Amino acid sequence: MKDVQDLLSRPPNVINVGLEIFYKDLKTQGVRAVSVEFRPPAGGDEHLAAILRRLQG
Amino acid sequence: MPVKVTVRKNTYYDSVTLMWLSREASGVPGMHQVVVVMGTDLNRELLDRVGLLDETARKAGPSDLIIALEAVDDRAIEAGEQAVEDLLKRRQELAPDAEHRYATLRSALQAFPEADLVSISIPGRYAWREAETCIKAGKHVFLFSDNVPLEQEVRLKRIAQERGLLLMGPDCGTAVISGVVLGFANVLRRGPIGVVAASGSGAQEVTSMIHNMGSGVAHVIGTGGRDLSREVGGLMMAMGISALARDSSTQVIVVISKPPHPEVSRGVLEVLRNTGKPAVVCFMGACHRSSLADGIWGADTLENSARIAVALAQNDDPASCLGHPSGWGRWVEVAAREARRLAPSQVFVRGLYSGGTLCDEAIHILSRTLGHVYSNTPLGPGLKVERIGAGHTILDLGDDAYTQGRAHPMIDPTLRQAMILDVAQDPRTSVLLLDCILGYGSHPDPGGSLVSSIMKAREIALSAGRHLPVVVSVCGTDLDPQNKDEQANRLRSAGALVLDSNAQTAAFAGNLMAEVGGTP
Repeated sequence: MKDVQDLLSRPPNVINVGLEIFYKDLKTQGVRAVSVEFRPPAGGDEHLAAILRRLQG
Repeated sequence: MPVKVTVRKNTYYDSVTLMWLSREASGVPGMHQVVVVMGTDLNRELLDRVGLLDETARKAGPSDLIIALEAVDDRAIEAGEQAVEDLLKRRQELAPDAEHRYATLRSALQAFPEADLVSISIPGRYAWREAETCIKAGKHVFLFSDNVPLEQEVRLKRIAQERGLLLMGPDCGTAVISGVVLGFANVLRRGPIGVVAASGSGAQEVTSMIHNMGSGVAHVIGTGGRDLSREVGGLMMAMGISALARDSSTQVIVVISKPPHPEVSRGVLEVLRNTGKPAVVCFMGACHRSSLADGIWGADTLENSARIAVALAQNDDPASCLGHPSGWGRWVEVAAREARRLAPSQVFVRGLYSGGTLCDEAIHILSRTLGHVYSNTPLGPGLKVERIGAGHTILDLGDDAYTQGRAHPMIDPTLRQAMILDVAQDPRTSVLLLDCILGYGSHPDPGGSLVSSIMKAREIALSAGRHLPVVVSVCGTDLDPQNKDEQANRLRSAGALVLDSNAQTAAFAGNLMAEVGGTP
Protein backbone atom coordinates (compact mmCIF):
# COMPACT_ATOMS: atom_id res chain seq x y z
CA MET A 1 0.00 0.00 0.00
CA LYS A 2 1.34 3.40 -0.95
CA ASP A 3 0.45 6.38 1.18
CA VAL A 4 0.09 9.96 0.04
CA GLN A 5 3.58 11.07 1.10
CA ASP A 6 5.02 8.26 -1.02
CA LEU A 7 2.90 9.44 -3.97
CA LEU A 8 4.25 12.99 -3.61
CA SER A 9 7.88 11.92 -3.25
CA ARG A 10 8.55 11.07 -6.92
CA PRO A 11 6.84 10.96 -10.34
CA PRO A 12 4.03 8.39 -10.18
CA ASN A 13 3.68 5.21 -12.23
CA VAL A 14 0.23 5.33 -13.80
CA ILE A 15 -2.44 2.96 -15.13
CA ASN A 16 -4.66 4.86 -17.57
CA VAL A 17 -8.25 3.66 -17.92
CA GLY A 18 -10.25 5.44 -20.59
CA LEU A 19 -9.36 8.35 -22.84
CA GLU A 20 -6.45 7.56 -25.13
CA ILE A 21 -5.38 11.18 -25.20
CA PHE A 22 -4.55 10.99 -21.48
CA TYR A 23 -2.36 7.93 -22.04
CA LYS A 24 -0.62 9.69 -24.93
CA ASP A 25 0.03 12.75 -22.74
CA LEU A 26 1.55 10.55 -20.00
CA LYS A 27 3.93 8.93 -22.49
CA THR A 28 4.87 12.36 -23.90
CA GLN A 29 5.90 13.29 -20.35
CA GLY A 30 8.05 10.16 -20.07
CA VAL A 31 5.84 8.61 -17.37
CA ARG A 32 5.88 4.84 -16.77
CA ALA A 33 2.34 4.03 -17.79
CA VAL A 34 0.11 1.33 -19.20
CA SER A 35 -3.27 1.61 -20.84
CA VAL A 36 -6.50 -0.25 -20.15
CA GLU A 37 -8.88 -0.29 -23.08
CA PHE A 38 -12.12 0.08 -21.25
CA ARG A 39 -15.17 -1.84 -22.47
CA PRO A 40 -18.57 -1.63 -20.79
CA PRO A 41 -18.75 -4.86 -18.77
CA ALA A 42 -20.86 -7.65 -20.31
CA GLY A 43 -21.25 -5.59 -23.50
CA GLY A 44 -23.34 -3.01 -21.67
CA ASP A 45 -25.93 -5.49 -20.46
CA GLU A 46 -26.58 -4.30 -16.89
CA HIS A 47 -28.21 -7.55 -15.79
CA LEU A 48 -25.33 -9.72 -17.03
CA ALA A 49 -22.79 -7.30 -15.57
CA ALA A 50 -24.40 -7.64 -12.11
CA ILE A 51 -24.13 -11.44 -12.37
CA LEU A 52 -20.49 -11.16 -13.45
CA ARG A 53 -19.73 -8.95 -10.45
CA ARG A 54 -21.25 -11.45 -8.05
CA LEU A 55 -19.19 -14.23 -9.65
CA GLN A 56 -16.02 -12.18 -9.35
CA GLY A 57 -16.72 -11.57 -5.68
CA MET B 1 -30.84 13.23 -49.01
CA PRO B 2 -29.30 9.76 -48.88
CA VAL B 3 -28.50 8.31 -45.46
CA LYS B 4 -26.26 5.34 -44.68
CA VAL B 5 -25.99 3.73 -41.26
CA THR B 6 -23.51 0.97 -40.47
CA VAL B 7 -23.10 -0.85 -37.17
CA ARG B 8 -19.86 -2.54 -36.10
CA LYS B 9 -20.49 -4.92 -33.25
CA ASN B 10 -18.10 -4.99 -30.27
CA THR B 11 -16.04 -2.11 -31.58
CA TYR B 12 -15.37 0.42 -28.85
CA TYR B 13 -13.83 3.86 -29.02
CA ASP B 14 -13.88 6.50 -26.32
CA SER B 15 -16.12 9.55 -26.61
CA VAL B 16 -13.34 12.08 -27.26
CA THR B 17 -11.95 9.97 -30.13
CA LEU B 18 -15.43 9.62 -31.64
CA MET B 19 -16.19 13.33 -31.42
CA TRP B 20 -12.88 14.12 -33.10
CA LEU B 21 -13.66 11.57 -35.78
CA SER B 22 -17.19 12.89 -36.43
CA ARG B 23 -15.88 16.41 -36.70
CA GLU B 24 -13.06 15.52 -39.10
CA ALA B 25 -15.32 13.41 -41.31
CA SER B 26 -17.99 16.13 -41.50
CA GLY B 27 -15.44 18.19 -43.45
CA VAL B 28 -15.80 15.86 -46.46
CA PRO B 29 -17.40 17.77 -49.38
CA GLY B 30 -21.11 17.05 -49.75
CA MET B 31 -21.38 15.72 -46.18
CA HIS B 32 -24.52 16.98 -44.43
CA GLN B 33 -24.26 15.06 -41.16
CA VAL B 34 -21.76 12.61 -39.71
CA VAL B 35 -22.48 10.98 -36.36
CA VAL B 36 -20.12 8.25 -35.13
CA VAL B 37 -21.08 7.08 -31.65
CA MET B 38 -21.36 4.05 -29.40
CA GLY B 39 -24.86 2.53 -29.29
CA THR B 40 -25.87 3.76 -25.83
CA ASP B 41 -29.52 4.71 -25.15
CA LEU B 42 -28.59 8.40 -25.07
CA ASN B 43 -26.75 8.20 -28.40
CA ARG B 44 -29.57 6.31 -30.07
CA GLU B 45 -31.95 9.06 -28.93
CA LEU B 46 -29.57 11.63 -30.37
CA LEU B 47 -29.52 9.80 -33.71
CA ASP B 48 -33.31 9.60 -33.67
CA ARG B 49 -33.59 13.35 -33.09
CA VAL B 50 -31.49 14.08 -36.17
CA GLY B 51 -33.24 11.50 -38.33
CA LEU B 52 -30.38 9.02 -38.50
CA LEU B 53 -31.78 6.14 -36.46
CA ASP B 54 -32.67 3.16 -38.68
CA GLU B 55 -33.47 -0.46 -37.79
CA THR B 56 -29.83 -1.61 -37.56
CA ALA B 57 -28.88 1.33 -35.33
CA ARG B 58 -31.95 0.76 -33.17
CA LYS B 59 -30.67 -2.72 -32.35
CA ALA B 60 -27.10 -1.59 -31.55
CA GLY B 61 -25.85 -1.84 -27.99
CA PRO B 62 -23.38 0.18 -25.86
CA SER B 63 -20.34 -1.74 -27.14
CA ASP B 64 -21.36 -1.47 -30.79
CA LEU B 65 -20.12 1.38 -32.98
CA ILE B 66 -22.75 3.23 -35.09
CA ILE B 67 -21.53 5.12 -38.16
CA ALA B 68 -24.33 7.34 -39.51
CA LEU B 69 -23.84 9.48 -42.62
CA GLU B 70 -26.14 11.85 -44.47
CA ALA B 71 -24.85 13.52 -47.64
CA VAL B 72 -25.96 15.22 -50.87
CA ASP B 73 -25.51 12.10 -52.98
CA ASP B 74 -24.23 8.51 -52.90
CA ARG B 75 -20.76 9.53 -54.05
CA ALA B 76 -20.40 11.85 -51.07
CA ILE B 77 -21.62 9.04 -48.80
CA GLU B 78 -18.87 6.79 -50.16
CA ALA B 79 -16.29 9.51 -49.64
CA GLY B 80 -17.56 9.92 -46.07
CA GLU B 81 -17.27 6.19 -45.41
CA GLN B 82 -13.73 6.21 -46.74
CA ALA B 83 -12.85 9.19 -44.56
CA VAL B 84 -14.15 7.40 -41.45
CA GLU B 85 -12.10 4.29 -42.39
CA ASP B 86 -8.95 6.35 -42.83
CA LEU B 87 -9.48 8.18 -39.55
CA LEU B 88 -10.08 4.92 -37.66
CA LYS B 89 -6.91 3.49 -39.16
CA ARG B 90 -4.93 6.60 -38.21
CA ARG B 91 -6.31 6.28 -34.71
CA GLN B 92 -5.22 2.63 -34.52
CA GLU B 93 -1.67 3.57 -35.43
CA LEU B 94 -1.54 5.86 -32.41
CA ALA B 95 -2.78 3.13 -30.05
CA PRO B 96 -0.44 1.90 -27.34
CA ASP B 97 1.77 -1.03 -28.32
CA ALA B 98 0.56 -4.44 -27.23
CA GLU B 99 2.84 -4.91 -24.24
CA HIS B 100 1.45 -1.78 -22.56
CA ARG B 101 -2.16 -2.40 -23.40
CA TYR B 102 -4.51 -4.37 -21.17
CA ALA B 103 -8.07 -5.48 -21.66
CA THR B 104 -9.11 -5.12 -18.02
CA LEU B 105 -8.14 -3.07 -15.01
CA ARG B 106 -7.53 -6.22 -12.99
CA SER B 107 -5.00 -7.58 -15.47
CA ALA B 108 -3.22 -4.23 -15.54
CA LEU B 109 -3.07 -4.11 -11.72
CA GLN B 110 -1.63 -7.62 -11.68
CA ALA B 111 0.93 -7.01 -14.42
CA PHE B 112 2.02 -3.57 -13.14
CA PRO B 113 2.21 -3.76 -9.33
CA GLU B 114 4.55 -0.75 -9.27
CA ALA B 115 1.62 1.44 -10.34
CA ASP B 116 1.00 4.21 -7.81
CA LEU B 117 -2.06 5.78 -9.31
CA VAL B 118 -4.88 4.96 -11.70
CA SER B 119 -6.32 7.63 -13.97
CA ILE B 120 -9.97 6.92 -14.79
CA SER B 121 -11.83 8.71 -17.59
CA ILE B 122 -14.77 6.49 -18.54
CA PRO B 123 -18.53 7.09 -18.24
CA GLY B 124 -19.52 7.82 -14.64
CA ARG B 125 -21.86 4.90 -14.20
CA TYR B 126 -18.94 2.49 -14.76
CA ALA B 127 -16.23 4.71 -13.33
CA TRP B 128 -17.01 4.43 -9.65
CA ARG B 129 -16.77 0.65 -9.66
CA GLU B 130 -13.37 0.82 -11.31
CA ALA B 131 -12.31 3.44 -8.76
CA GLU B 132 -13.42 1.12 -5.97
CA THR B 133 -11.35 -1.72 -7.39
CA CYS B 134 -8.32 0.58 -7.46
CA ILE B 135 -8.76 1.81 -3.88
CA LYS B 136 -9.16 -1.74 -2.59
CA ALA B 137 -6.01 -2.64 -4.49
CA GLY B 138 -4.16 0.12 -2.63
CA LYS B 139 -3.87 2.62 -5.49
CA HIS B 140 -4.49 6.34 -5.54
CA VAL B 141 -7.09 7.45 -8.08
CA PHE B 142 -7.44 10.40 -10.44
CA LEU B 143 -11.13 10.28 -11.31
CA PHE B 144 -11.81 12.55 -14.26
CA SER B 145 -15.27 11.04 -14.88
CA ASP B 146 -18.38 12.87 -13.77
CA ASN B 147 -21.99 11.66 -13.29
CA VAL B 148 -20.85 9.51 -10.38
CA PRO B 149 -23.69 9.23 -7.83
CA LEU B 150 -23.06 11.39 -4.76
CA GLU B 151 -23.53 8.49 -2.34
CA GLN B 152 -20.78 6.54 -4.14
CA GLU B 153 -18.44 9.54 -3.95
CA VAL B 154 -19.02 9.82 -0.18
CA ARG B 155 -18.63 6.06 0.37
CA LEU B 156 -15.48 5.73 -1.75
CA LYS B 157 -13.80 8.82 -0.29
CA ARG B 158 -14.35 7.42 3.20
CA ILE B 159 -12.79 4.09 2.23
CA ALA B 160 -9.90 5.87 0.51
CA GLN B 161 -9.32 8.06 3.56
CA GLU B 162 -9.27 5.03 5.86
CA ARG B 163 -6.59 3.47 3.67
CA GLY B 164 -4.57 6.67 3.36
CA LEU B 165 -5.24 6.98 -0.36
CA LEU B 166 -6.16 9.98 -2.49
CA LEU B 167 -9.35 9.85 -4.54
CA MET B 168 -9.05 12.93 -6.74
CA GLY B 169 -12.56 13.44 -8.11
CA PRO B 170 -15.10 12.58 -9.40
CA ASP B 171 -15.27 15.44 -11.87
CA CYS B 172 -11.61 16.26 -11.27
CA GLY B 173 -10.07 17.69 -14.40
CA THR B 174 -6.69 18.83 -13.12
CA ALA B 175 -3.85 17.44 -11.04
CA VAL B 176 -0.07 17.71 -11.15
CA ILE B 177 1.78 15.20 -8.98
CA SER B 178 5.55 15.57 -8.69
CA GLY B 179 5.61 17.41 -12.00
CA VAL B 180 3.43 14.89 -13.84
CA VAL B 181 0.31 16.35 -15.43
CA LEU B 182 -2.94 14.43 -15.08
CA GLY B 183 -5.89 15.61 -17.16
CA PHE B 184 -6.01 19.26 -18.15
CA ALA B 185 -3.10 21.16 -16.67
CA ASN B 186 -0.24 23.41 -17.63
CA VAL B 187 3.45 22.54 -17.71
CA LEU B 188 4.90 24.23 -14.65
CA ARG B 189 8.29 24.92 -13.16
CA ARG B 190 8.75 22.89 -9.94
CA GLY B 191 8.89 25.08 -6.86
CA PRO B 192 7.72 25.60 -3.29
CA ILE B 193 4.00 26.26 -3.73
CA GLY B 194 1.52 23.41 -3.25
CA VAL B 195 -2.08 23.70 -4.39
CA VAL B 196 -5.23 21.81 -3.41
CA ALA B 197 -8.10 22.65 -5.73
CA ALA B 198 -11.75 21.78 -6.19
CA SER B 199 -11.57 23.67 -9.44
CA GLY B 200 -9.78 22.89 -12.69
CA SER B 201 -9.55 26.22 -14.45
CA GLY B 202 -8.97 27.92 -11.09
CA ALA B 203 -5.93 25.72 -10.47
CA GLN B 204 -4.72 26.34 -14.01
CA GLU B 205 -4.97 30.12 -13.72
CA VAL B 206 -3.27 30.29 -10.31
CA THR B 207 -0.45 27.85 -11.14
CA SER B 208 0.23 29.40 -14.56
CA MET B 209 0.56 32.79 -12.91
CA ILE B 210 2.86 31.39 -10.21
CA HIS B 211 5.09 30.04 -12.98
CA ASN B 212 4.91 33.28 -14.98
CA MET B 213 6.00 35.25 -11.92
CA GLY B 214 9.17 33.13 -11.79
CA SER B 215 8.20 30.84 -8.91
CA GLY B 216 7.12 27.20 -9.11
CA VAL B 217 4.68 24.52 -8.03
CA ALA B 218 5.33 21.45 -5.90
CA HIS B 219 2.03 19.67 -6.56
CA VAL B 220 -1.56 20.35 -7.58
CA ILE B 221 -3.91 17.99 -5.78
CA GLY B 222 -7.41 17.95 -7.27
CA THR B 223 -10.41 17.07 -5.16
CA GLY B 224 -13.27 17.19 -7.65
CA GLY B 225 -16.02 19.79 -7.73
CA ARG B 226 -18.27 18.31 -5.03
CA ASP B 227 -15.66 17.64 -2.34
CA LEU B 228 -16.55 20.74 -0.31
CA SER B 229 -20.29 20.01 -0.27
CA ARG B 230 -21.98 19.26 3.03
CA GLU B 231 -22.33 15.56 2.18
CA VAL B 232 -18.70 14.94 1.24
CA GLY B 233 -17.46 17.32 3.90
CA GLY B 234 -14.13 18.26 2.33
CA LEU B 235 -12.62 14.81 2.92
CA MET B 236 -10.08 14.97 0.11
CA MET B 237 -9.40 18.68 0.63
CA ALA B 238 -8.37 17.86 4.22
CA MET B 239 -6.22 14.92 3.10
CA GLY B 240 -4.59 17.02 0.41
CA ILE B 241 -3.80 19.87 2.79
CA SER B 242 -2.35 17.44 5.39
CA ALA B 243 -0.24 15.77 2.71
CA LEU B 244 1.19 19.11 1.60
CA ALA B 245 1.84 19.94 5.26
CA ARG B 246 4.09 16.89 5.53
CA ASP B 247 5.62 17.28 2.04
CA SER B 248 9.12 18.71 2.36
CA SER B 249 9.04 20.34 -1.10
CA THR B 250 5.94 22.40 -0.23
CA GLN B 251 6.51 25.64 1.68
CA VAL B 252 3.31 27.54 0.93
CA ILE B 253 -0.18 26.03 0.56
CA VAL B 254 -2.90 27.44 -1.70
CA VAL B 255 -6.54 26.29 -1.55
CA ILE B 256 -8.91 27.07 -4.43
CA SER B 257 -12.62 26.39 -4.60
CA LYS B 258 -16.09 27.84 -4.84
CA PRO B 259 -17.28 28.79 -1.34
CA PRO B 260 -17.72 25.56 0.64
CA HIS B 261 -20.70 24.72 2.79
CA PRO B 262 -20.11 26.85 5.97
CA GLU B 263 -19.43 23.87 8.28
CA VAL B 264 -16.98 22.48 5.75
CA SER B 265 -15.32 25.86 5.43
CA ARG B 266 -14.52 25.97 9.16
CA GLY B 267 -13.02 22.47 9.01
CA VAL B 268 -10.84 23.29 6.01
CA LEU B 269 -9.49 26.49 7.59
CA GLU B 270 -8.67 24.63 10.78
CA VAL B 271 -6.70 21.92 8.96
CA LEU B 272 -4.92 24.69 7.11
CA ARG B 273 -4.02 26.55 10.30
CA ASN B 274 -2.69 23.35 11.86
CA THR B 275 -0.18 22.89 9.03
CA GLY B 276 1.95 25.70 10.39
CA LYS B 277 2.80 26.68 6.81
CA PRO B 278 1.88 30.02 5.22
CA ALA B 279 -1.42 29.57 3.42
CA VAL B 280 -3.69 31.33 0.92
CA VAL B 281 -7.36 30.56 0.42
CA CYS B 282 -9.41 31.58 -2.59
CA PHE B 283 -13.08 30.70 -2.03
CA MET B 284 -14.23 32.41 -5.22
CA GLY B 285 -16.45 35.37 -4.43
CA ALA B 286 -16.16 35.03 -0.66
CA CYS B 287 -14.12 38.17 -0.19
CA HIS B 288 -13.97 41.50 -1.99
CA ARG B 289 -10.42 42.31 -1.02
CA SER B 290 -7.43 40.18 -0.17
CA SER B 291 -6.56 40.21 3.52
CA LEU B 292 -4.91 38.29 6.34
CA ALA B 293 -7.23 36.82 8.96
CA ASP B 294 -6.29 34.34 11.71
CA GLY B 295 -2.98 33.60 10.05
CA ILE B 296 -4.46 32.71 6.64
CA TRP B 297 -4.51 34.98 3.62
CA GLY B 298 -7.88 35.22 1.90
CA ALA B 299 -7.55 36.14 -1.79
CA ASP B 300 -10.30 37.85 -3.76
CA THR B 301 -9.07 36.77 -7.20
CA LEU B 302 -7.11 33.90 -8.69
CA GLU B 303 -4.41 36.36 -9.76
CA ASN B 304 -4.07 37.67 -6.21
CA SER B 305 -3.93 34.09 -4.88
CA ALA B 306 -0.84 33.61 -7.03
CA ARG B 307 0.69 36.97 -6.10
CA ILE B 308 0.23 36.35 -2.36
CA ALA B 309 1.58 32.79 -2.61
CA VAL B 310 4.68 33.93 -4.50
CA ALA B 311 5.29 36.72 -1.96
CA LEU B 312 4.99 34.25 0.92
CA ALA B 313 7.35 31.83 -0.81
CA GLN B 314 9.90 34.62 -1.22
CA ASN B 315 9.45 35.85 2.39
CA ASP B 316 8.05 39.15 1.14
CA ASP B 317 5.05 40.89 2.66
CA PRO B 318 2.03 40.06 0.46
CA ALA B 319 0.38 43.35 1.40
CA SER B 320 3.04 45.20 -0.54
CA CYS B 321 2.26 43.34 -3.78
CA LEU B 322 -1.51 43.68 -3.82
CA GLY B 323 -1.89 46.99 -5.60
CA HIS B 324 -2.90 47.25 -9.22
CA PRO B 325 -0.72 45.10 -11.49
CA SER B 326 2.02 46.97 -13.31
CA GLY B 327 0.77 48.50 -16.54
CA TRP B 328 -2.80 48.77 -15.26
CA GLY B 329 -2.88 52.56 -15.77
CA ARG B 330 -2.48 52.03 -19.50
CA TRP B 331 -5.38 49.57 -19.58
CA VAL B 332 -7.60 52.10 -17.78
CA GLU B 333 -6.87 54.56 -20.61
CA VAL B 334 -7.53 51.90 -23.24
CA ALA B 335 -10.87 51.07 -21.62
CA ALA B 336 -11.88 54.73 -21.72
CA ARG B 337 -10.85 55.00 -25.36
CA GLU B 338 -12.78 51.85 -26.30
CA ALA B 339 -15.85 53.11 -24.47
CA ARG B 340 -15.85 56.33 -26.53
CA ARG B 341 -16.04 54.27 -29.73
CA LEU B 342 -19.22 52.42 -28.76
CA ALA B 343 -22.65 53.09 -30.28
CA PRO B 344 -25.53 54.08 -27.99
CA SER B 345 -27.12 50.63 -28.38
CA GLN B 346 -24.08 48.86 -26.94
CA VAL B 347 -24.89 48.51 -23.26
CA PHE B 348 -24.37 44.89 -22.21
CA VAL B 349 -21.25 42.89 -21.38
CA ARG B 350 -21.11 39.38 -22.85
CA GLY B 351 -18.71 36.59 -21.93
CA LEU B 352 -18.18 33.11 -23.40
CA TYR B 353 -15.97 30.91 -21.21
CA SER B 354 -14.45 27.45 -21.45
CA GLY B 355 -13.22 27.43 -17.83
CA GLY B 356 -15.94 27.25 -15.17
CA THR B 357 -14.05 29.03 -12.40
CA LEU B 358 -12.78 31.71 -14.78
CA CYS B 359 -16.41 32.33 -15.75
CA ASP B 360 -17.37 32.46 -12.09
CA GLU B 361 -14.58 34.91 -11.30
CA ALA B 362 -15.68 37.24 -14.11
CA ILE B 363 -19.28 37.12 -12.89
CA HIS B 364 -18.24 38.01 -9.32
CA ILE B 365 -16.00 40.88 -10.38
CA LEU B 366 -18.54 42.37 -12.77
CA SER B 367 -21.54 41.91 -10.47
CA ARG B 368 -19.98 44.37 -8.05
CA THR B 369 -20.13 47.24 -10.53
CA LEU B 370 -22.77 46.17 -13.04
CA GLY B 371 -25.37 44.68 -10.72
CA HIS B 372 -27.26 41.81 -12.34
CA VAL B 373 -25.19 39.44 -14.44
CA TYR B 374 -27.07 36.61 -16.11
CA SER B 375 -25.47 33.19 -16.60
CA ASN B 376 -26.13 29.48 -16.88
CA THR B 377 -24.08 29.33 -13.64
CA PRO B 378 -25.39 32.51 -11.97
CA LEU B 379 -24.88 33.95 -8.52
CA GLY B 380 -28.59 33.71 -7.77
CA PRO B 381 -31.63 31.79 -9.10
CA GLY B 382 -33.33 34.81 -10.67
CA LEU B 383 -30.34 35.28 -12.96
CA LYS B 384 -30.27 31.87 -14.61
CA VAL B 385 -30.37 31.75 -18.41
CA GLU B 386 -29.48 29.17 -21.04
CA ARG B 387 -28.35 31.61 -23.73
CA ILE B 388 -27.56 35.24 -24.42
CA GLY B 389 -30.70 37.30 -24.05
CA ALA B 390 -31.23 40.69 -22.49
CA GLY B 391 -28.75 42.00 -19.96
CA HIS B 392 -25.12 41.39 -19.09
CA THR B 393 -24.59 37.69 -19.77
CA ILE B 394 -21.57 35.51 -19.07
CA LEU B 395 -21.83 31.84 -20.00
CA ASP B 396 -19.82 28.78 -18.93
CA LEU B 397 -19.78 26.65 -22.06
CA GLY B 398 -18.15 23.78 -20.18
CA ASP B 399 -21.30 23.32 -18.12
CA ASP B 400 -23.35 20.15 -18.66
CA ALA B 401 -26.08 22.05 -20.49
CA TYR B 402 -23.67 22.75 -23.35
CA THR B 403 -21.69 19.51 -23.43
CA GLN B 404 -24.41 16.94 -24.17
CA GLY B 405 -23.18 15.04 -27.20
CA ARG B 406 -20.19 17.30 -27.69
CA ALA B 407 -16.71 17.58 -26.24
CA HIS B 408 -15.74 20.22 -23.66
CA PRO B 409 -15.03 23.67 -25.18
CA MET B 410 -11.40 23.39 -24.10
CA ILE B 411 -11.11 20.59 -26.65
CA ASP B 412 -13.80 21.48 -29.22
CA PRO B 413 -14.20 25.19 -30.02
CA THR B 414 -17.07 24.91 -32.54
CA LEU B 415 -19.98 25.93 -30.29
CA ARG B 416 -18.09 28.93 -28.91
CA GLN B 417 -17.03 29.98 -32.43
CA ALA B 418 -20.71 30.08 -33.46
CA MET B 419 -21.80 31.91 -30.32
CA ILE B 420 -19.12 34.58 -30.78
CA LEU B 421 -20.81 35.51 -34.06
CA ASP B 422 -24.25 35.57 -32.42
CA VAL B 423 -22.95 37.92 -29.76
CA ALA B 424 -21.44 40.19 -32.43
CA GLN B 425 -24.74 40.40 -34.27
CA ASP B 426 -26.54 41.61 -31.15
CA PRO B 427 -26.47 45.43 -31.26
CA ARG B 428 -26.55 45.56 -27.46
CA THR B 429 -23.18 43.86 -26.99
CA SER B 430 -20.65 46.39 -25.71
CA VAL B 431 -17.69 44.09 -25.06
CA LEU B 432 -16.98 40.37 -25.42
CA LEU B 433 -14.90 38.51 -22.81
CA LEU B 434 -13.17 35.24 -23.64
CA ASP B 435 -10.73 32.88 -21.93
CA CYS B 436 -8.04 30.93 -23.77
CA ILE B 437 -6.68 27.97 -21.81
CA LEU B 438 -3.47 26.21 -22.86
CA GLY B 439 -1.77 23.10 -21.54
CA TYR B 440 -2.12 19.33 -21.77
CA GLY B 441 -5.62 18.17 -22.62
CA SER B 442 -6.51 21.43 -24.35
CA HIS B 443 -7.04 21.97 -28.07
CA PRO B 444 -3.69 22.07 -29.89
CA ASP B 445 -4.28 25.71 -30.91
CA PRO B 446 -6.91 27.33 -28.70
CA GLY B 447 -5.95 30.90 -29.66
CA GLY B 448 -5.86 30.06 -33.35
CA SER B 449 -9.30 28.49 -33.09
CA LEU B 450 -10.65 31.82 -31.85
CA VAL B 451 -8.87 34.08 -34.34
CA SER B 452 -11.19 33.83 -37.34
CA SER B 453 -14.32 34.08 -35.15
CA ILE B 454 -12.94 37.19 -33.45
CA MET B 455 -12.09 38.81 -36.79
CA LYS B 456 -15.48 37.92 -38.26
CA ALA B 457 -17.27 39.15 -35.14
CA ARG B 458 -15.57 42.54 -35.34
CA GLU B 459 -16.37 42.76 -39.06
CA ILE B 460 -20.03 41.95 -38.42
CA ALA B 461 -20.20 44.69 -35.82
CA LEU B 462 -18.31 47.16 -38.01
CA SER B 463 -20.56 46.63 -41.01
CA ALA B 464 -23.49 47.52 -38.75
CA GLY B 465 -21.70 50.70 -37.61
CA ARG B 466 -20.46 49.31 -34.28
CA HIS B 467 -17.03 48.89 -32.74
CA LEU B 468 -16.72 45.63 -30.80
CA PRO B 469 -13.92 45.29 -28.26
CA VAL B 470 -12.92 41.67 -27.66
CA VAL B 471 -10.96 41.06 -24.48
CA VAL B 472 -9.04 37.85 -23.79
CA SER B 473 -6.57 36.43 -21.32
CA VAL B 474 -4.34 33.47 -22.14
CA CYS B 475 -3.99 30.98 -19.30
CA GLY B 476 -0.73 29.14 -19.76
CA THR B 477 3.06 29.06 -19.53
CA ASP B 478 6.04 29.17 -21.87
CA LEU B 479 6.51 25.43 -21.26
CA ASP B 480 3.06 24.45 -22.50
CA PRO B 481 2.71 22.43 -25.74
CA GLN B 482 1.04 25.48 -27.33
CA ASN B 483 3.38 28.46 -27.52
CA LYS B 484 1.92 31.02 -25.11
CA ASP B 485 3.53 34.11 -26.64
CA GLU B 486 2.52 33.08 -30.13
CA GLN B 487 -1.06 32.43 -28.98
CA ALA B 488 -1.24 35.92 -27.45
CA ASN B 489 0.30 37.54 -30.53
CA ARG B 490 -2.13 35.87 -32.90
CA LEU B 491 -5.06 36.98 -30.78
CA ARG B 492 -3.70 40.54 -30.84
CA SER B 493 -3.33 40.41 -34.62
CA ALA B 494 -6.97 39.40 -34.82
CA GLY B 495 -7.82 42.62 -33.01
CA ALA B 496 -8.31 41.23 -29.50
CA LEU B 497 -7.07 43.06 -26.41
CA VAL B 498 -4.95 40.54 -24.49
CA LEU B 499 -4.57 41.08 -20.75
CA ASP B 500 -2.42 39.17 -18.29
CA SER B 501 -5.12 37.52 -16.19
CA ASN B 502 -8.79 36.63 -16.15
CA ALA B 503 -9.39 39.04 -13.27
CA GLN B 504 -7.84 41.86 -15.30
CA THR B 505 -10.07 41.17 -18.32
CA ALA B 506 -13.16 41.39 -16.10
CA ALA B 507 -11.90 44.54 -14.38
CA PHE B 508 -11.17 46.04 -17.81
CA ALA B 509 -14.75 45.37 -18.91
CA GLY B 510 -15.97 46.93 -15.66
CA ASN B 511 -13.90 50.06 -16.32
CA LEU B 512 -15.16 50.25 -19.88
CA MET B 513 -18.78 50.04 -18.76
CA ALA B 514 -18.18 52.64 -16.05
CA GLU B 515 -17.09 55.06 -18.81
CA VAL B 516 -20.18 54.20 -20.84
CA GLY B 517 -22.56 54.51 -17.92
CA GLY B 518 -20.87 57.61 -16.55
CA THR B 519 -20.54 56.02 -13.10
CA PRO B 520 -17.21 56.46 -11.24
